[in-house]
Amino acid sequence: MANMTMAKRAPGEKELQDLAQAGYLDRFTNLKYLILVAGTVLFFWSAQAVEFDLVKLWDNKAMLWEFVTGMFPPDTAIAQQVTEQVIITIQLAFVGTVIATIVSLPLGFMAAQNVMPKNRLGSGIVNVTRFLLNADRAIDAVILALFFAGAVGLGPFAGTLALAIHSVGMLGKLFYEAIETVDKGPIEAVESVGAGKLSVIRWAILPQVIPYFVTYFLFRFELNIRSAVVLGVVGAGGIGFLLQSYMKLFQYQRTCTVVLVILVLVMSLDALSSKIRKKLIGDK
Amino acid sequence: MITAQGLGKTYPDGTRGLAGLNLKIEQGEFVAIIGGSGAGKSTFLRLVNGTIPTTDGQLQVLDCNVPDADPSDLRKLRRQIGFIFQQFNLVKSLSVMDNVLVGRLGYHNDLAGTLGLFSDEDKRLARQYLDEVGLSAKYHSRADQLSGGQQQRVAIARALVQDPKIILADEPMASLDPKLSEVILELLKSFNEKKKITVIVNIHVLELARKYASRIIGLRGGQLVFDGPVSSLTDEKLRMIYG
Repeated sequence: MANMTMAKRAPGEKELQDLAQAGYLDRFTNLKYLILVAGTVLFFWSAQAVEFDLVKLWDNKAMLWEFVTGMFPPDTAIAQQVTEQVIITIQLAFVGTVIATIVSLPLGFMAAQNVMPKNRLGSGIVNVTRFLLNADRAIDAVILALFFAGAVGLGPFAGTLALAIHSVGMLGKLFYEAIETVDKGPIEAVESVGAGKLSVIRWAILPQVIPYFVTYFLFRFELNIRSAVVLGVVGAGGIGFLLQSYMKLFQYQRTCTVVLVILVLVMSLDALSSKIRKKLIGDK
Repeated sequence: MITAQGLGKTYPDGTRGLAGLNLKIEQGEFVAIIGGSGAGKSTFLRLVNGTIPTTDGQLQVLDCNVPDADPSDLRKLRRQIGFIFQQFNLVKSLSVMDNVLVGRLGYHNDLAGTLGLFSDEDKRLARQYLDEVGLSAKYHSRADQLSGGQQQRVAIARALVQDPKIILADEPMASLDPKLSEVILELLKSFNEKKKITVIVNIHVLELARKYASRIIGLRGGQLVFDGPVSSLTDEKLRMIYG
């Protein structure tokens, strides 16, 4: 009680702080409403631009229904053809991911601050490599596939090149982040015996990062299988191409077979690779 | 063997690690460096093997003038100096054998070392020293499957396989229980006597320093405040070191 009366008579530092905080909160509240209003306006402006129309969807419900019911039962007669194309899709993803990993390895080390020398040349290499990796991530595999199709023709080869190059951006980033978080102790120890720079990478850094690299390879392989399906739709062959052809010909039962096979394929590979990943680096 | 004159180290952030240190350490000595945290004990060891550059004064280690050494001189210096760390600093996912072979990397060119082209002699030495530290049964275990005391013995084998003239040990027992501390110091002492390896060990347990070392160096605030045989370390001198 005594304290309270004291506070009323002479506002101390704490009260002043409270006032400042209240003012700050007021401003923050205003900003919140402004963002809310601006966000709402932006949403309706954009929705109108993309012709978003729930009424139209409702009016065409019969066609949607026809599409869905037309898919069943799936056509099992094309199983062999589908399997062949699925294998091509996996191969496309696999070759693309392996090439990307090989390219990303040196780039990962070149982008790692704890590996490169701490001088202007070293930080220059780090910055340029990181810029290239960032730029690479910004360009989607589909765009790259269309680009390569111009050079080597539409087909699996263009798709593989696209996946390989697009994956380098992400793998390179994951690799250098893993390298930068290694335990410094072993590095100091291996340096202390008079080992050269490459030997330090080989004996102190590589053993620590290999489990992570394998994990990232598997993770990227999962993503690339999905990308490879999409690349097939734009002409890189494989299961995606089959899917697109059946849909164009309104062969919904065959389309359904393809969709189901993709579903099973992606889910089982995901399960397998997450099992391996857990074994390698624990539950993370 | 080790001669420091006016040796100083100021870190880039302005912290004074060591200042005006004058001392001489001869072949075959067993020296314990004592002092509170921040006294400059670790700084001194890392200046000796050139892990961190000196900023003032002179430092001669073996035949190397450390402040003027280029990277290749430093590699040659380091391979003659074993370093034992508080946290062992083994490469955990490698085998015990590989961890010890790492100690031979200073004798190979970088490419051969990277490819792991160790000679039969390297492997023989690795086995010999693992036997001597009592780990004959553990050649092929993964380093992280060993206990702390065993890991530190692997680290000692890694240092010995370098065929070192000097062993520097930075609080080598700080992560171990008291009984294991004695095992580790006992090992260092035996190699000091058998092979006349100079041993310099940073230590925070005074009784251990007294028991194993022949000479004690006391540091405080980066400066030398005591240097003499164990017998002359009186309570009064101790107050000077620890305040």
